[in-house]
Amino acid sequence: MRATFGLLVLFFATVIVQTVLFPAFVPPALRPDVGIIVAMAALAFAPREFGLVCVFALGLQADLFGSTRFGLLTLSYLLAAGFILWMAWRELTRGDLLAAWVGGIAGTAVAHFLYLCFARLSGMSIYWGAALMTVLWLSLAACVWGLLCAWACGRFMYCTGLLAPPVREHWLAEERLAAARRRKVARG
Amino acid sequence: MHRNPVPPRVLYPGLVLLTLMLFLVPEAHVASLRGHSLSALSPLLRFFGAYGKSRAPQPALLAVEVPAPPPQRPKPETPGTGNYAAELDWLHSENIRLRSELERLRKAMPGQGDAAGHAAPALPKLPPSIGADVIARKMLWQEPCLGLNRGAAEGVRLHAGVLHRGAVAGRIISVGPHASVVALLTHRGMSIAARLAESRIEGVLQGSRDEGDERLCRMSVVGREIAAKAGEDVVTSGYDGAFPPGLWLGVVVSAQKKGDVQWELAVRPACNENAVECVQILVMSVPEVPWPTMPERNRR
Repeated sequence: MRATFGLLVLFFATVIVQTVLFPAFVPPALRPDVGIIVAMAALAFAPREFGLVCVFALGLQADLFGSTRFGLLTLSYLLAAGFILWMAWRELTRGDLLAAWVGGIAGTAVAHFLYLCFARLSGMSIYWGAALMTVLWLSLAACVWGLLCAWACGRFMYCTGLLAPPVREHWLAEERLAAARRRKVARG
Repeated sequence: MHRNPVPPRVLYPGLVLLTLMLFLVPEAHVASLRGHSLSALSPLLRFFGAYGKSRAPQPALLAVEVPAPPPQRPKPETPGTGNYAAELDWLHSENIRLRSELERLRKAMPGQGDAAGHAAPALPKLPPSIGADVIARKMLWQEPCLGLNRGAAEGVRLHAGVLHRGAVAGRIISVGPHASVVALLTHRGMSIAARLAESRIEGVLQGSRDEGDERLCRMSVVGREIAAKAGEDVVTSGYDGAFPPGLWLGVVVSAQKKGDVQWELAVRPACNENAVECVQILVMSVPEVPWPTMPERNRR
């Protein structure tokens, strides 16, 4: 139940941010693909099963609102997530915000490169220079917004109890350490 | 009751398989779903879209005397980013611009003056021709050829000239009952009697001369010295019977001396061969020239 609620909130929040807020307030060059960033954050912080379902669901929303062929972007998301998990699952799932950020950037680059390759294979005409430049801009936008998105996603999961147990332990330990430091400073 | 989660080694291939099945969803259903989703989001889109518009000035396209340049199309849909509001705005403004352009062209048609009763200037008349649509494009012997939807039944004859937007596009090389094939200007076998528009030098325009990435035509000219310069127009001379004189063929790019009395000019075709969708096939009758025949006794 909790997982379903969390998934729905992440799905609709991503749709609104991607479709409404970013086009209205952010210049085109700085509009990231929020779906893959949130999906990679979910993969980094939540249990593996929830993360993978999240990747699939957010890939669906990206397909629905921004893909030329339904299913192509979802497949790219899933393969990019699989590739990143295969390459760096230990670093990614440690619970660090930095790892989720870097994962989001790498996911953006890999997923969209795969998308271009699949689109080319399925017969669409791709101008590689312009397409790779778009991927580069998306990756740069992911650098700018990725940390904020990963942080927001992590805080939401922390509040709703969707974090993976080791990540939750890690974050709780950090909070306890920070509180102890604050008390120490207060005592002088 | 706590259930064991599905192991990722099963879940991941399952999700990939499910994704592959998404390719089977008909495009009409996807479009319908997309429309419903956007309709659900429309209040938010309108609210924030209005905010976005108030910041950026929009081009005025209504009630202008001089036709405004076409607005820039929004960036191509980047994967994963929804840019539908900008796309819709662009389509709307493009629709208005095209309507006003159509109205202007209607007024400029011969015999249709403007509202004040002034006669519109007459457009140059094309030679007798029939319109045809391009229905196929094929590489035959490494040369691009276009299939047209007009054939012998409609009056198309072999070697007839073909125009695109008033410029020469090629010649008919094969005619069927209701379809025909046109070879474009850069076709290796192309040969058209041509003339330089300013210096009036005559020659023969032939296809296929690769100049870097661009395919140009070559024009062979016989003469000791010629005054051709880059940028000069090349037109038909009308000597081959396929085209009337004065139709635009292309522009001289460079001139090169090939021999004592032989020059070769590189000519860029006037017609963009990659953007031909409909053409005019010339159906003019070729006058028979009564060339005198050599007397029988002189032949011996």
